[in-house]
Formats: sequence, C-alpha cells, structure tokens
Amino acid sequence: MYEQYAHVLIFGMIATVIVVAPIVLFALIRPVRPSSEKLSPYECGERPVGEPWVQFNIRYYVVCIIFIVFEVEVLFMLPWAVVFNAFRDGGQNLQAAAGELKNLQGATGLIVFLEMLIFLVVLAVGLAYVWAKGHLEWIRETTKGPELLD
Amino acid sequence: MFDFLFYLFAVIGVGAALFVAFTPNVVHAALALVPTFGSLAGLYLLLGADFIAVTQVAIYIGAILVLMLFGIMYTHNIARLSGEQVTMQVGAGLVVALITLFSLVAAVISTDWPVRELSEPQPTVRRLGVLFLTDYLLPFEIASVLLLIALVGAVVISHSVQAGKSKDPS
Repeated sequence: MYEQYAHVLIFGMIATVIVVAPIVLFALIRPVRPSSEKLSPYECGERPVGEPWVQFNIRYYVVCIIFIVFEVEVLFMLPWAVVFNAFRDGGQNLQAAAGELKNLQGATGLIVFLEMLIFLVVLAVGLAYVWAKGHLEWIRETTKGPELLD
Repeated sequence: MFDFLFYLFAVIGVGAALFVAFTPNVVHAALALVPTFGSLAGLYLLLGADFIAVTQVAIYIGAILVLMLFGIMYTHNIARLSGEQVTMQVGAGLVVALITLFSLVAAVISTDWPVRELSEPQPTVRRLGVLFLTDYLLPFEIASVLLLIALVGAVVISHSVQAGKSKDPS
C-alpha cells in the first residue's frame, strides 16, 4: 500500500516545489521599490473601494452545511460501492476481500442494496426539508428591496 | 524512509498548529490549518489508515475549513478585532492548564508503549465496506440520522438568525 501512496507523495512534493520555488526565486532577484500604487490590490484596473471585510449573506453558510452533509454521505457510500459486487456474487470474493472476517450474517446483494437505500432515504428527508424550506433557491420572492444585496 | 516521513509530517503538523495558536490574524490561523490537517492525513497514511487519510483531506481540508472561513467572515468587525489577544481568567486558566498537563504526563508515563515490527499495511476500504454492511450496520445507519440532524439543525439556526435580522434592522 505504501508504494501506491509514494506516487501521491511525489505529486505532492512536485506541487509544493512548483508553488514555493517561484516565490523564493522572485523574492531573491526582484528589486524592492514599493509604492502605494503597487501595493493596492489589483481589481482589473479598477480602484478598490471600501473595506475588503464585508459580511457575507448567511445563506452561504447553509449551502456549505448542505455540501458537507452530502460529502460525508458520498464518503460513506464509497466502501459500500467497492464491496457491493462481491456481496452480489454471493460472497466468493468477499472472504478474500475481508480477510479474517467470517461473519457475513447471510447478507446478500439485495439486503446490502436495501441497507444503502435506507441510508439514502434518511438523507433524502433532509434534502426534501431543505428544498421545502426554500434554501436551494438563491433568489427568494419573500426578500425584497435592498436586502437582496446584503 | 518511514522515520523520515513521520518526523517530516510531525514537524509540519506541530509547526502549523503553533502558528494557528499564536498568529494574531484569524484568517491566517484558519489557512494554517491546511498544513496541520494535511500532515495529519500523512500520519494516518503512515499508520495504514488510508480511508481515514482520504476522509481527512476531503472533509477537513475540503469542507470544514471552508465552513470555518465563513464563520470568521460572519463575525462582526473581524478586521478590527484581529491583532488583539486579551488574556482573561489567568488564575483559573493556569489551574486548568496545569491539571491537563499533569494528567497528560501521567497518562504518557503510565501507558505501556509496545514496540512491534511493521508489516506492510493493506488497503482498508473493502474491509471497511464489509464491516459497515454486517457487524456495524446499526452505527452506519445511525450515521445517516446524525447527518440529517446536523443538516436540519443548521438550517433552523441560520433561519432564526435571518428572521432576527429582518425584524431588527440595525
């Protein structure tokens, strides 16, 4: 297993070098003559106006929470998807896959499928709740006027 | 190689964690959590827990951190708050810190640390899948209920925040 992740490590090291090397190199060779013009943040040629710290709409937070919940769901589905075929085949490959685990408790493909279905239905309730509450719609009819901009 | 990688990840992790604790800028602290979480994922991999490592990267770096940054940005007047570090309750904090230090040191001393030869770890995803669907089916299904509660709770709380804001336009 370490061998496979050595590839990941090599990619990570190359990525780090690609990011860090130009920064270090340019810091060494560039002349340092700062002016207020140069230090202002670049906004496509526009002069930046106001504070960069604005308060974001709380709805971003809800979207982020929804994202986390369904990302965790996907991570729970991954091991299930990997072993599903072995269960469907009646478990011949399963003993090898599971190593010393002998106790399969008669789980077959259908049962394993239903197990995941229950998992998904419970989370679908959450999705339905969020949808019904209107959190999936970005522009709401109830908000009006300048509140849209906050 | 194993030892070198362990110390590399340990140094990055602890160094970044110290930066998180001591930097006056909250946003820098949140961003410094990336190397902290990343080196933790590396340590998990060295221990043979590949699924946990990938989960660490996907959930902590990918999602929790975004949530933290949003949390920082929702804080009122964060630009003016950053830089100030006020120490309150010095006496009580000292007592708690000493008790924690004492119990940690006591735990480290009293634990027996067995040294074992390393064997090449096997990928864990298939074994995890089988365990999820047989022996640990109930915790697996309860996890979905937990996720449901988290989702509904977050929506209800943020909804009440929004309702309070529209009632009181300050």
